Amino acid sequence: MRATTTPVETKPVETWSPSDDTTVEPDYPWIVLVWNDPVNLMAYVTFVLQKVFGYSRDKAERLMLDVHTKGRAVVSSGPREKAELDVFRLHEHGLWATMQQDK
Amino acid sequence: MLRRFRRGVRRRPDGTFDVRLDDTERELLETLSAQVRALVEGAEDGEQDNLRRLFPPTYGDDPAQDAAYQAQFGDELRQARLAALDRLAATARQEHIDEEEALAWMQAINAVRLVLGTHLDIDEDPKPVSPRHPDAPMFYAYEYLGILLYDLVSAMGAS
Repeated sequence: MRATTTPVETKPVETWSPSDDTTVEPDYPWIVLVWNDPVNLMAYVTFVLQKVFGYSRDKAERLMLDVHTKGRAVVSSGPREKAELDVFRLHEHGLWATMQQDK
Repeated sequence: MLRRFRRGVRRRPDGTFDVRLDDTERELLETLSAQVRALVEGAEDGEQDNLRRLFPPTYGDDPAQDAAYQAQFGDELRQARLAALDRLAATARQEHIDEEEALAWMQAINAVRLVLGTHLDIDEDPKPVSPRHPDAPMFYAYEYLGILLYDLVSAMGAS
């Protein structure tokens, strides 16, 4: 067998580089926030955080107090699917929860 | 105004709960759960402002992502709400409820409070409403349900 050599063609290669009008979202983790509201009882919020996340009473109470005094608290974080499930369960219990990327 | 001087719900040694409420209180639970159920069902045809706390946005700062989320999970949340309200209405006359029923009571009573609280525009420091005010019955129901919910949470947290 004879080795053949073929001429190597060189073509312009299309390269990609980010431009000013293109943003790439890095894979930031998602955080779940519970917001203060005047209707939900403090004891109820503590109970729900214990039930939904299995937090100790102390931890759930600390988070509830953060919600109450600072207006909001991060109650969980992780991949998007987990955050969506967490928000769903909090909504099911009537807590005012949202999720966003932790940038 | 409904006043109660005893705990309405107590955990029993076997893990179930005693419910000590009078007929008026039980009737109120049936009536309010049925009314909120009708509101939730009717909301399929359009937005109801009083229900906004029952179905809050998930992606608070991104309406497009939120619309996609609602399309996927909105009906599931609606069904969960209706199931809890139905469970409350169906068991409101019972002297004993089990753990699952107690959880449904908690979710349903909280949902009713959210609707009443939104309608009454409750803030951090709610002022008593005059007995002659048209919203007085709703305000007293809101306050009463807060006491009952606190009883339930205390009973469920008791080992």
